Amino acid sequence: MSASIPYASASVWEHLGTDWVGQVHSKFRTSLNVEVEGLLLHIGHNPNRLSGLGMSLPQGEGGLVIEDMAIGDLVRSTSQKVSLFPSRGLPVVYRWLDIQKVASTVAFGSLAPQDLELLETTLGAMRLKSRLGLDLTEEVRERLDTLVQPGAAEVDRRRAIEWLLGRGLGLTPSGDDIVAGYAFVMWANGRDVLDARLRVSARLKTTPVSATMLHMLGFGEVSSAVMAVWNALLAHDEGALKDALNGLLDLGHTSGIDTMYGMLLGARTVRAQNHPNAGVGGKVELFHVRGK
Amino acid sequence: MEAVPGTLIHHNDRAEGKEEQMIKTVVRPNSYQDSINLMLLTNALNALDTVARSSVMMGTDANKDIFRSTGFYTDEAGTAGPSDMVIVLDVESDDAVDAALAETDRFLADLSVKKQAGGTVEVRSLNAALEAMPDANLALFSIPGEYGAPEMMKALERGLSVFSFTDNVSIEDEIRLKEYAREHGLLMMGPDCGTGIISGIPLAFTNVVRPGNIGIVGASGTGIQEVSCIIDHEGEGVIHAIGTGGRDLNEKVGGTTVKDALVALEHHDPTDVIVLISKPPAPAVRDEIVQVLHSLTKPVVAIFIGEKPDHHEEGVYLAHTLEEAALIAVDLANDRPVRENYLTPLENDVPATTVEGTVKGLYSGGTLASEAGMMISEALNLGGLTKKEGFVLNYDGYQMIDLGDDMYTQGRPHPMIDPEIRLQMIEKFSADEDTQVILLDVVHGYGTHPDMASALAPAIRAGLEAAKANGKDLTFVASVTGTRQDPQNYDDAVRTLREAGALVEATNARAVRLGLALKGVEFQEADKVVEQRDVEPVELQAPSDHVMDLLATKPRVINIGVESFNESIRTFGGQSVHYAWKPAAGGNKEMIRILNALADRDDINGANQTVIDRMRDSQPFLVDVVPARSVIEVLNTRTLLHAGPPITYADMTGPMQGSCVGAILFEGWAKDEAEARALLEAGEVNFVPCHHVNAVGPMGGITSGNMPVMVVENRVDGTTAYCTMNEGIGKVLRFGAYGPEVVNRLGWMRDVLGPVLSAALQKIEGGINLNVIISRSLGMGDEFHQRNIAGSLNLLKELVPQIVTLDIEQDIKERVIRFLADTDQFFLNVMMATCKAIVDYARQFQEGTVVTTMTRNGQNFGIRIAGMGDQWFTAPVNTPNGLYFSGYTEDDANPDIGDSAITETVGVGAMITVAAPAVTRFVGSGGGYDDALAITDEMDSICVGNNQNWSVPNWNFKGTPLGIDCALVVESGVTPLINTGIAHKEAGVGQVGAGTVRAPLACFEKALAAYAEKLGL
Repeated sequence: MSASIPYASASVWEHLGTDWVGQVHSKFRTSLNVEVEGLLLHIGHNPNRLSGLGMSLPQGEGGLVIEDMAIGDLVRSTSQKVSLFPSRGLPVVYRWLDIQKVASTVAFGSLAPQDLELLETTLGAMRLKSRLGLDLTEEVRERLDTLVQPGAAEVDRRRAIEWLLGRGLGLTPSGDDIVAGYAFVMWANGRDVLDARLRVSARLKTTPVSATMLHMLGFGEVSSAVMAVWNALLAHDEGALKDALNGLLDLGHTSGIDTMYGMLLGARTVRAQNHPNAGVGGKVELFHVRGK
Repeated sequence: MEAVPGTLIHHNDRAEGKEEQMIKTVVRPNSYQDSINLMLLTNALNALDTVARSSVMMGTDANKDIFRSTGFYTDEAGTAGPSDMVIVLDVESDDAVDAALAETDRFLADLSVKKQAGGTVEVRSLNAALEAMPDANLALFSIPGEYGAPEMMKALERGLSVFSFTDNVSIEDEIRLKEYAREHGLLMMGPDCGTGIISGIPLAFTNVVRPGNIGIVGASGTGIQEVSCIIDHEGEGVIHAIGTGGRDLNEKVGGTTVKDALVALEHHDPTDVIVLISKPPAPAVRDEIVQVLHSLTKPVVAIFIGEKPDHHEEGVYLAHTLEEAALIAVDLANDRPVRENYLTPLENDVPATTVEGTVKGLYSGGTLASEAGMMISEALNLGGLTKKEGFVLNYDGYQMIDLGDDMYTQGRPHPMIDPEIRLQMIEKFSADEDTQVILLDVVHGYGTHPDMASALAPAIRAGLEAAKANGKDLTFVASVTGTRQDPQNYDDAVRTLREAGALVEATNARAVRLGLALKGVEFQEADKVVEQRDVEPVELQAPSDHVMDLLATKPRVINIGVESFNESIRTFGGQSVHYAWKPAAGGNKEMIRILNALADRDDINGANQTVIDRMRDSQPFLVDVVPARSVIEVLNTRTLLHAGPPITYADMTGPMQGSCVGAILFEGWAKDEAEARALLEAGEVNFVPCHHVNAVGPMGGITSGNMPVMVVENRVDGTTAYCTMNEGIGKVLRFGAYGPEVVNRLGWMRDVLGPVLSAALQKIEGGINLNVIISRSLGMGDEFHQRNIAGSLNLLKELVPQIVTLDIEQDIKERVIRFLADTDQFFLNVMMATCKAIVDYARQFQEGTVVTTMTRNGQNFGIRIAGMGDQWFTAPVNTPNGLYFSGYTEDDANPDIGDSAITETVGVGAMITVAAPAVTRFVGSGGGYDDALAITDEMDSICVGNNQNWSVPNWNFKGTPLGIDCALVVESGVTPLINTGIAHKEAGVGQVGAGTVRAPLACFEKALAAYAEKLGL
């Protein structure tokens, strides 16, 4: 993708439309989040790092405007254009017609269990557990175990997810990233584990950045890094999958690891649910199930 | 009471019946401060317990009228000039005056510290500002109105758009400025434009509003403030608020700026919605404006304050109140349909019981007062607005008062800065039986009081208590015009007002509605629907590249006047250079007229350039030392040359008279002092200024026929100049000493030194190239007036090899070389002759305003300028400031004297003080390197150019200043500084110190006036 043109994830059109106004919610070194109707639109200038609800501005002018924007500054979208109004810089305007739409939607049920075997195998070899951002305390293990148990009741699974929300440190706490990876795999396999109630719960329990990520996941909208994983799986392309997973490794402090670990749990869950007699491979060594 | 140095203190007893109070006047000459600083200073003085009231203004004619109308006029204030600060105090004692002056000093020093801390780039002319910021695109004016129009025209002519906070500009000037701006693709905002936002940067008295997709064009300052603040509170933003000045939609002005600004916003991509705020346009202008509004493709909200629209028009939405205008704009900014009604619920509960009395409005914002007047008049059917004696509504006890009206601001700061008038009014109306509701506005933003709510709160509290004690219902209703980004704290202000007992609404319109509701009157707005209107759109001319650059970039501002206006510009990402404006020519209107007339001529700059080209291209060579009479014909008679412009013996000061005695004794015209004086007093000695015969002479400059003079030839055309040789220090003729040792030394110089140096020079083919010596010596720390040691040594280096080869006795050689080696200032006289040879070549071109001679005779300072040839222009000399030899004080000093200011004429000496920081302390220029640099920069600012042949390492290799421009001197009031020795005022004593002296301004003014007359200006 070219760094000289603007991009936006398709979810922006899908979920925000073009008539909205937002204010800068949080600012980082090279990107910022704009709060629009309770969601955070992430704006940076790396088209390869679009979030599930994100835009990438061209380098140069786009970088400058991001630098000039301060918390509270306005980003205004109309049917024709999106304008950024930095309080210490000059406004910048992009026509929607000129903004490249980047696919961000994972088709519901698009991956069959067998598509996920490659993912499980690849991730299983990556020794993710030891690098997680969340300490694997007994109570954590208990919830993770619940996620993968084929016989777990839906209500318990929901409680486990809810318990994980907001656990850990960072803009996207580790518990959320694990849930995100898990939810992505489940969604791709045709199971929606982040229903409206959980999405509301996320808004209350975790960070706004994370809540947006989970909200978007509830509609199958994912970041470009996760899209790369999905595309590789769709294509059964082992090399592309490894590249995509390596790309995820760079995300955040442990976000990528946590997300991949969630994916691994998701893949195992799918397999276990489809082959209940086969057991959850590696479960014994992965999880200590209380009372057993 | 002792006077503060530089301060004149005068006393006037106050009017009869108040003997205990006195009006005292303090005039601080040449102490210009801008109007905002003076208002803040007045505030600070009024805050002193010992000052009943005060007024501090510059001594302009307009301000004197204000002094008169406010009872502060005194005879002493009447004598002040426009550059003089006049402090008038109403106090009980001299101690109170001392306290006020101490506070004044503290306040001004604090300003200076703030300026330094802010890293302000400060210049003293528009040209210097443009040099410092060549890509400037906006001039922000806040100077007194009486000087405004010509200064603004200069800025427009330099390709700058103008934002004029300056008011009191005539409508004829406004029309002229706006027409010029339009013809040249510039934007003329104002005059009397108090508020503006350009690319999100607040200008002048403006709130910090979040940038967004709304653009405002406004002929009303507080109207812009109120609308933009409401927009900000509603979560939207304003990218531009282009002020037009209150008269723009006047029939004569024709809406020039409104139309230009509307079209500019139409072409500004980030602007999606345009708001127009104005009083109703003149009927003749209305149709044109309406046509423009309907020709825009972007939606427009228009409010003509005082009109009650009953419908909207497609694309043009008409608002009744400022709040409605803001709310419609917010909907349009969000692509939402415009609603039929924008009345919003009040924040405060309205009591069931209603009051019987009247409503008073005590407003600091004129448009807010008008809005209140309009709403109350409409609701109670009071017959509309008035505009008289500060009232915008005055009917049957209902009074809306604009306390920012001239009536209330004469001699006192604006009520947005100074709470005093409102505190008085609150007290008055709280006690008024009929008044039961008082409306107040608190306006935040740059330039306004740091915490007006807290300033008003005690009066509100006291008013409520007094009313309660009297059994009267009284309610204060207030609104705060501000944002949470303002320098003031919006939430604290609201809280403070509420805690004081006031009811606070979010907007002025709501506050007025609450005021009416307290009387049991519900303010209503009829629904408005959008109606089609058939207006033929016109083709709008595209804005200029300049205007679009102004709107599409952060403004690059030359701030002219109020220093504090730089703050918001820099805080929000703009750039500014501060032009510390002072009235041109000290406010002398005739001089300003001449300066403007000269500026309008195309040929003056070229002429000045020619003169300085001649100075710079000069090639001075020291070629000989000869008896003066051999080259100056008149010295073959009983004639003496003297320094300075023409003078008679009787008018000469002591040292020059002493020199005359010494010269007569040297020439043998008399046998003793008494006989010499008798000759002189009998008029038997003829006097000629050195300058009239191609000569110059230091101090007294007395030169007689047998004195040897050095001959400097300007190789460009053979112009030759002469100067006597330096006698060394101690008792010397040039300082008026005439004893035997002086006369004997002159004899030795005639018989030995002169012939030896002549012989040595003859051995050097073509003579000594003085440009080389000067250039080399500049790098060694000479400035050639006070310090010449490097030049003297460099000259010695050229001469000694020749002297030692002369066929003369060894002891003569040794004595000559010893004399030259001991005489640190020997090169001064060489330099003087050099400078004379340069100016006499340059001034053969007789046009322009470059100063070609500066000299002093102890009584008068005389100058010549190129355009006036040989004519002298004189004014009384000043007495030097400096350091004195042990045992002497300034009481011993003779007034300024000598031709040595010829060095400054050519841009050395004090003009290039930075070249010789070693003598900065000695000459009393203030001390350190920074002072030397500042003086040099100041001198550079009154010169036409620089001489790159004489590059100054210590000044980053910049060339010495060249070509003192008489016009720049008059315009800036900065006169050349001269380094000088100080002679004792009595003949025979000699030198008693050294220092600096300023040339008097008057001779430059006379020269300029004469040249203007010659040109028929």
